Amino acid sequence: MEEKLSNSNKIYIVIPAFNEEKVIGKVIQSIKGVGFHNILVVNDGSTDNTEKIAGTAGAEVLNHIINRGQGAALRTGIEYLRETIDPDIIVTFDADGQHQPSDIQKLIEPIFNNEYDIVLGSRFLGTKSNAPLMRKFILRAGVVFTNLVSRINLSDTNNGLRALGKKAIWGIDITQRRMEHASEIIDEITKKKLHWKEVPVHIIYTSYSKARKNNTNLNFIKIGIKILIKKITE
Amino acid sequence: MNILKVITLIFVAFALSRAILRFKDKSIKITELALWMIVWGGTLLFVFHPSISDEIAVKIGIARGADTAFFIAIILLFYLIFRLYVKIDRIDKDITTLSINISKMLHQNNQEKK
Repeated sequence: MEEKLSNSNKIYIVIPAFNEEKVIGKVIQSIKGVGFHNILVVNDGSTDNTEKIAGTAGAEVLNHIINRGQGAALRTGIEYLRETIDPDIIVTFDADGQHQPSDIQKLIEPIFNNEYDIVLGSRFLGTKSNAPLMRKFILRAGVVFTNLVSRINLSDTNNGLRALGKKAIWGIDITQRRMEHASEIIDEITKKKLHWKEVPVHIIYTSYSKARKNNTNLNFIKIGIKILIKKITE
Repeated sequence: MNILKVITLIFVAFALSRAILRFKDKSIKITELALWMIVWGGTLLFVFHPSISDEIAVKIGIARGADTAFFIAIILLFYLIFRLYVKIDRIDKDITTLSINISKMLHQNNQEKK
């Protein structure tokens, strides 16, 4: 089964990346190491060597000419794949080294078996997380908030590691260009009536990933405000 | 006529002329023009006939006329900021769509070259 899944040409790993020259090469290599070779990096207007390093590591690279945010980069990757390859499964994967390539298999299996349209990684399901205490608290608050707004019951609503089957690839519209897209995707699951599942994944918080601008606690509060405004204006 | 009245008159004349010009070149709708006319007309009314604010104040239950003017001004400001937010958001979304399409086009051009 493992062999069959990873060798399929129709499984793509999409990695949005902004100034990740220090880790992007390793991340791509480690994904290849578990057998997935279709890797698309969306270089989101990086000012460092992200594009070059990702290309050398063997990923296909799309470039945003200016930085637009993780949501926009994912949209680019998904739209591009939809229009060109029409993949069966797209896995979204963070560029900062927090996600473990060994989790990809768990994510795609339920879609491959036609049981679910979208599978979401959860750091609070089963496995122990090394998230800092404050981060844990904010993430939990985010979960309660998103579940209330989107009328869904998830254990982790801001996890970038997920696998989308055909129905999700074509059905989910990402309009939020920054981190709010994670909650938007969850909103879309309810709206488009997609069959979803959560699987436990392991997130490793490194000093590098914690220092990223998008990962500050204040940013999570900003995201909450943005989602509320979107709900009011839509 | 005191200085406040002169300044208000000049400012309102300028603002209204801008609104009319923008309506003429079709960058705003007639409803928006009407809104601006009400806003600036109301401003003139308050400045030239301050007693009218007292009458309105009594009707809506606020004690002083001057307070009514501030009350209305704050609500109006909130509304305008909200409209600005919506507009900026729309422009922001357009820029995102543009960048996405440009990146896909550039990528396809590069691949064709290869």
